[in-house]
Amino acid sequence: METQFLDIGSSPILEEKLEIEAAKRTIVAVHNREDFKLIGFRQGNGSDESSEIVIVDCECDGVPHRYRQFKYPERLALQFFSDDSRHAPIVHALRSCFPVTAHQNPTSDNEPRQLCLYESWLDTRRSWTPERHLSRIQEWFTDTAEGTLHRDDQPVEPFYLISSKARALVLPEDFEEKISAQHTLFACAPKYAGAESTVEIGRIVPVVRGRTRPSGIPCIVLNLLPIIHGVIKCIPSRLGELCKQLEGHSAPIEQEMRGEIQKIVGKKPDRKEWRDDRVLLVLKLPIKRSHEGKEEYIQHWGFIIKENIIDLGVKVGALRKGGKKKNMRNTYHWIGDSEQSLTEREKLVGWQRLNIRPLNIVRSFTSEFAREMSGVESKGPYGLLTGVGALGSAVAAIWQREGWGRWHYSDTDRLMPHNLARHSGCSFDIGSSKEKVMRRIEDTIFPAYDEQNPNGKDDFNSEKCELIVDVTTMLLAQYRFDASKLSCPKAISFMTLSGRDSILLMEDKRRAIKADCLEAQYYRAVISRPWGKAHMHNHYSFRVGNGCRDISFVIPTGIVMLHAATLAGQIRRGYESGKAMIGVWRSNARGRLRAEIIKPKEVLTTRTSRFRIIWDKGIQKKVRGLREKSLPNETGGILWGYFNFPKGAVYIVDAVPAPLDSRECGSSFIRGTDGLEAMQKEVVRRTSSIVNYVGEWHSHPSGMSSRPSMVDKWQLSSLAGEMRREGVPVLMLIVGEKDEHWCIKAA
Amino acid sequence: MTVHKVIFYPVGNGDTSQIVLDNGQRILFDFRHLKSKGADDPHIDLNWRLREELKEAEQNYFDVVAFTHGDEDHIAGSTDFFELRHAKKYQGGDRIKINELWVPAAMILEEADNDKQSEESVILRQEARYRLKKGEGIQVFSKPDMLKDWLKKNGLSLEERKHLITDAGCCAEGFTLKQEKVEFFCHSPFIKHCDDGDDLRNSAALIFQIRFWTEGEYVNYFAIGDSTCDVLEDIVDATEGHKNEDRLDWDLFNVPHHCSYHALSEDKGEKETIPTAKVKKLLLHGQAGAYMVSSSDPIDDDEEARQQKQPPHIQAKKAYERYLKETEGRKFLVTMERPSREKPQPLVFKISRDGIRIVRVTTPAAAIVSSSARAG
Repeated sequence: METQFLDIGSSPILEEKLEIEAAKRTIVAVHNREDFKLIGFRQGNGSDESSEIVIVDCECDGVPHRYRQFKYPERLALQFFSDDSRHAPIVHALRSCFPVTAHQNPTSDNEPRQLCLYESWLDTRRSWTPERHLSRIQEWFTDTAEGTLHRDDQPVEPFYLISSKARALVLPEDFEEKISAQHTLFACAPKYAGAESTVEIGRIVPVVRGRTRPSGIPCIVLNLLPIIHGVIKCIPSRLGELCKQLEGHSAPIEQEMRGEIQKIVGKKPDRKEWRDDRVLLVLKLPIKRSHEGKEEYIQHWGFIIKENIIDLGVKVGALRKGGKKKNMRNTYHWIGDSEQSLTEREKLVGWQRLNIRPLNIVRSFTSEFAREMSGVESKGPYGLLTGVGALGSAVAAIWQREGWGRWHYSDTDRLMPHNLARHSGCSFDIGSSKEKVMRRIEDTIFPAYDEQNPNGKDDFNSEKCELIVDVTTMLLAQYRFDASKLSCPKAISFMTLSGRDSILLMEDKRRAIKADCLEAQYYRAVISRPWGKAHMHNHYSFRVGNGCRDISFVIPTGIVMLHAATLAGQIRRGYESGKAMIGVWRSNARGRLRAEIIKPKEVLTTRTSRFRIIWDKGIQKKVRGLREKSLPNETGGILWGYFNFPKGAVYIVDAVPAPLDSRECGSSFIRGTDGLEAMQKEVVRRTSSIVNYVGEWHSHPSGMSSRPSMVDKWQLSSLAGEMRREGVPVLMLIVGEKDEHWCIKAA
Repeated sequence: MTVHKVIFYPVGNGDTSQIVLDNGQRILFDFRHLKSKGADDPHIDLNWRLREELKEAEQNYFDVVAFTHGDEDHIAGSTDFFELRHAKKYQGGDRIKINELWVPAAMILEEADNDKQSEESVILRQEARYRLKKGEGIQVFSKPDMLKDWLKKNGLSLEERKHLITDAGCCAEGFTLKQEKVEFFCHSPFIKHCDDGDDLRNSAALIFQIRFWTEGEYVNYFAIGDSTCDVLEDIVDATEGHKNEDRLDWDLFNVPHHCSYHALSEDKGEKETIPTAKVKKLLLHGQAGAYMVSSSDPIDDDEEARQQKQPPHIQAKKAYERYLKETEGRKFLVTMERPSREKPQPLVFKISRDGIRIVRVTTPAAAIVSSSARAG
């Protein structure tokens, strides 16, 4: 039997008449290929009048010789458009019974089928050549025959492909449950000013029986059987067409609709109550990759049926008019399955001609959806985010969009105009507290029912709190909520004033190393590591108001975002790992971001009558090592640290080895002074005057205890006298053979 | 999914093809390595190519190496490439092992004083004889009286070596449709020709119908080395006589003797060779969608080509194409023309569900392979 071909374009034209460059170049490419043969040329027609068509026969040797779906050769029409920046070239298969396969553009039944060759034409266009186009066509045939056209890592193909510009309907996430449970109506919510009229936001309107229905569209939801992905269907324009396409995926649609309509309108419905002449039909279609595969996702398709629900009910045989009496004129009755014979129902065909309009059904943005989009696996903690200024609000904004954590914000500072440079708030937020601004932003992202959205209504429940994130820029955070009562881990995060570096001090899950101890260890890194030299300097400030605290710093907004992005990710990782960490991220002008990760050391605490001396195993190891090295002589040096008087604590940051001019012997140690002054200046500079001299350490030789000798006691008193000017006590650490001993003395 | 491969290598007017079975077994038919004449030489560096393939498969042997006959264009370079068991000097190093050697009986029997014979064919005969005497690693096709005599002379009886000898009309040992999903039906040599002394080697060359099994269907490959029309006529006669017509079917046809008209008819014809009635019968056994492969130099269609004495013959090509079209076959392909005459690449057929197809060659940017870049 001779192969039948479909017509394309208008009447044939001569090769010389072709004007489109791509068409002309394609002819040359076809001449150079033994597996393509030129058949003829056409001008486009209709809206594609300016396009040109090259008709070819394509032999594809990559298709197995007994593959029945494709012919050898296949006749194709290669269509080119004068404006190729808007239109990708189209390849039509002209054989009249060309098979329906995956990766075809939807076409109607009497049109030639179209191969879908390029995922993103604008990307492809940059390196497109006619030669590659011809090869790509052959690849399409080969891969379709092999069944490999759709890669395993590609998402499954949808049942319909509705243009992204088509009318869209955003449905609330809880839509289905509400619709099916209560047979509520669907309505469109008021839009924000400026929203496109083609996007409608759905909301649920409750049905109040016995009254005139509120203006809402009745909604029918149908659950269909799973389908194997592959062939994209043409969008139907009539209900009958839709029904035909879904054959085998559900019971006949009209039958399904009968029950649903009856449930919605209730017994003896009054037509006057149902004012809207539209019905929303939502189809739920689970899609699978293969017969054996599991359902990959459920697609929702929406169609607006242009018919009043009561009339639709009559057309599909669900309802019958009540009677001829005046008071019954608008009343309808259900038709039971037994009442109407099958043949009678089969005669009902009017519904098939009803117009339907497709709707892109779009999921609303919930925190769960947000997590899916960002690849965030866990919901994150219920937490307190304190300090939502520039850095804090940016961190919060990232977690909001990622759907990670449910946050209570704490920051009573008011949003002022200069904050807009770096804060997530807007001009209409000026004057609101920053915590309110953050809640307002959250409300505008997530719908009210979302689990992530506390909506500002519930109070912070400190007992349930799982993480405190402190971005207050204050070193010793003062919480409105007494932090000491909270037993959850804490993450302290801040930027240096230059904006170059950001810091994270993260407690472990069990809080074995608390944030204040991490802070001391962070200072040790600042004074001992090479990067500490430039860590805290080089910042510029200016006045933004007349108050003494109205000083702000010059930091590019982008740098704040850079650090916020880093910190948001690291805090999330840190929380999920449950481990303590100290991290410093250093940026430079060329855009490099370098991470300095410091492994926290176990904390050691010694209680004296007035102070808790807080140090760690890192310092212990260091002084023990220095003692070992100097044996049989004694050795020693000075201690860096700082006091926190309200907390009654002294933090030891580091112990320094003996200066070169020290005198070490078997029974005594005289600490020298060489280089110490310069060193002290540098320590003070690097830590913005936080860390300073707090005392001395020295070792005792073998066989001696770590208890202070007479000389030690005398020495301690003498040092305390010298520190009187500062008003601070002095510490002495004695390192013995088996243990260490701390002394503290104030003058 | 079962996937077998048949690969034809561009070795000029000579033969080298390989079958790679779904189970990984490799059967090499003939070997012709040509010494490279420089960057512009279009012939493949066969040694390198086969080594690369074996390296990728992590093996240093072929399961079977079949020499269809001992002509130079079917064995050139083989004694440098393969490890031969009969003498130490052909062993060790990176030589590739042959688990089983397939030869026509003639390759055992030919005498060394025949001046047509190359040095390499003598070496291969020694190897074949060695293996046959040892009784392992060989399969000999057909058993003419001369073979029986030779066995006797070497103190062996036919009975003792029967398991290593396969007659025409039977399938080669070691492969079944059930297990390996392939069988090698031997059409030639058959006794009549081997005992005929005129053109002993060509007439006694191996010819198989190789039948692949892939999910539900057979795909037949007619593998002919060098042959002439009288041999092919005898094959058609004998096969029909035994009512084995399906053994003449083919989906892939290795065009005999580098597209020489002698395989079609005694008469070349001016524009097109007209095949003898029986050869025509064989050609009409081609199945819809089938391919023909001529392992030869490119074939031109001009006066000079028509006058050419040596194969390939354009007149023969035209005849093949005519019957290919008549049987709704797909293409007549020439190994030295694909994908380009400048740099031909191995022609790879994949045999799997739905039949046979050509594997796309991903060629490097054309300029890289066309010639060595020069600057002046």
